[in-house]
Amino acid sequence: MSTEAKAAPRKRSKRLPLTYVIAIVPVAAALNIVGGYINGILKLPIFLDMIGTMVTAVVLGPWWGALVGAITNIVSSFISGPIGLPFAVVNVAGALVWGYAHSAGWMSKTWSFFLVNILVAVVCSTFAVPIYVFIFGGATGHFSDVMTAAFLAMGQNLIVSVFSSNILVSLADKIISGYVGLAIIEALPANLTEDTNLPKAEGLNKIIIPVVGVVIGAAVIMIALALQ
Amino acid sequence: MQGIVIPISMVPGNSAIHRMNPLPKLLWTFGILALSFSTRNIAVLGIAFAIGLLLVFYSRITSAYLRVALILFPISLTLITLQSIAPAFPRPWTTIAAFGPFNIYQEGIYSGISLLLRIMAMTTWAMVTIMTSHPSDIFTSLKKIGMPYVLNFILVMTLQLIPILQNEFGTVLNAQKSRAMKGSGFGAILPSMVPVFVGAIERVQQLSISLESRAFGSTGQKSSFRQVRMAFSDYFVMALGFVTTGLATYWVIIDKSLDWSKSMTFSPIFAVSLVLSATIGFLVFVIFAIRAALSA
Repeated sequence: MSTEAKAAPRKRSKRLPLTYVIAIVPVAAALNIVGGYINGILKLPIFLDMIGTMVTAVVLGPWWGALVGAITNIVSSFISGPIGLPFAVVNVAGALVWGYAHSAGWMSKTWSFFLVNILVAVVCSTFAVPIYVFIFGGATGHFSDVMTAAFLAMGQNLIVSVFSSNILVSLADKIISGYVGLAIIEALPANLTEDTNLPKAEGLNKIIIPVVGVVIGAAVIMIALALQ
Repeated sequence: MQGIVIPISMVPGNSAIHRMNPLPKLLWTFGILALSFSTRNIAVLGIAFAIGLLLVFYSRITSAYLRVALILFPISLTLITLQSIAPAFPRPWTTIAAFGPFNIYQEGIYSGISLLLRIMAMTTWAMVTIMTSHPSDIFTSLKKIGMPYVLNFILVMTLQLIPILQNEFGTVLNAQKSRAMKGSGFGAILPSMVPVFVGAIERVQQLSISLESRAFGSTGQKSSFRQVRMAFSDYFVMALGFVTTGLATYWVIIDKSLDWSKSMTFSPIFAVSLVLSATIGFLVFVIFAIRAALSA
């Protein structure tokens, strides 16, 4: 046995100067807020407020991503009111799933990367739905509320209806966020990304077809379950 | 994205609320938050909302406040519609009218109004605090009561970076336009996030060096550019807020007679008119949103 003990690889966030890591967090949070704000202006049925969270969770680690998620919602409450504050939990949950999935090597292949984004969507919806139902009475202010009303008309209760409409929006949002994040990570300096184990970024135009496919597939499943 | 402005920011003024230290305002806001989450009584929530509105008028932030209230408008419409047909209340529900394939429930109307008042009360008090306090004063005050310096730095830095990143988006989109590429809408926004973020990260290195050169990680007393002091009146308002909101929250929790969801009745005409107008308003919003999304 060799006497030279093999040093365990240190986490990226430990190897980088603390000031560098601390300076990345506000950049990622600001990107989340600007993304969410632009999304609001374009009235798109997604959120676009977790791209910075994804990048930080993968590049620096899950808990730095969680910090970005929490900071995003705290600071955005200074910009668009306190409505987004409870959703910090959702942003934190998404960061933890992305971060730990990357640490576990689940994001190394194209198909597994895609599946992790779907898992993030499911986890985020699981955390978001109780907030929507018990704080906002099921209303989101999106036109996905029309889908909620449609599911209610099919005889589902409010929680299932809100989950059904939210998961469709969340799937599109998290898959798009995941792939935009992947493109960003690929373009980052090598000192930040040398330990990442991710598939090659696809052109963003190619992502739209699988996103639409997954959302339509999920919608069909939800409608079939509701009609049973 | 040039032309984007931050919708909520401090509205300069010289009212007593503007001059007050941010800590008493934050305490009142969190107190109202706790009270709002502890009750569904529409009278209590209505009073909290009305007092918040009086503070809005008194501190002369009405127009800025109304812009925020406009953001809440679609949520309010959906909330009334969804709650009326599927209340977030335990069954059994009392039907008061039919509305197409749905029934409108007594508990649903009550729940819709109480949730709406809860959101409006919370938002109004939070807006009074945010719009009458400089963000740096808020963070300096929080630091004084023990908030970690690093967290404080991150929060302030995030607020400062938002307009910078918005301008970066504008620059990237203009560059795309000038090269005959798509310069607006969904197809342009997503790819432009990559250069904006990467450019910002490259700037992080300079920021990190300047932080190191200013001994950011050192221990010892930190000084602040903005000085915030607590006057006697601030301590008084803080104590008043603590006692008032604390006692009110305790009262709404222990007094079971405040649950008016079964005793308060609404006429079928009122219920149908309310749900109909909310639904029409929401559908108009949906059509507007779909048109905006398609044109993007």
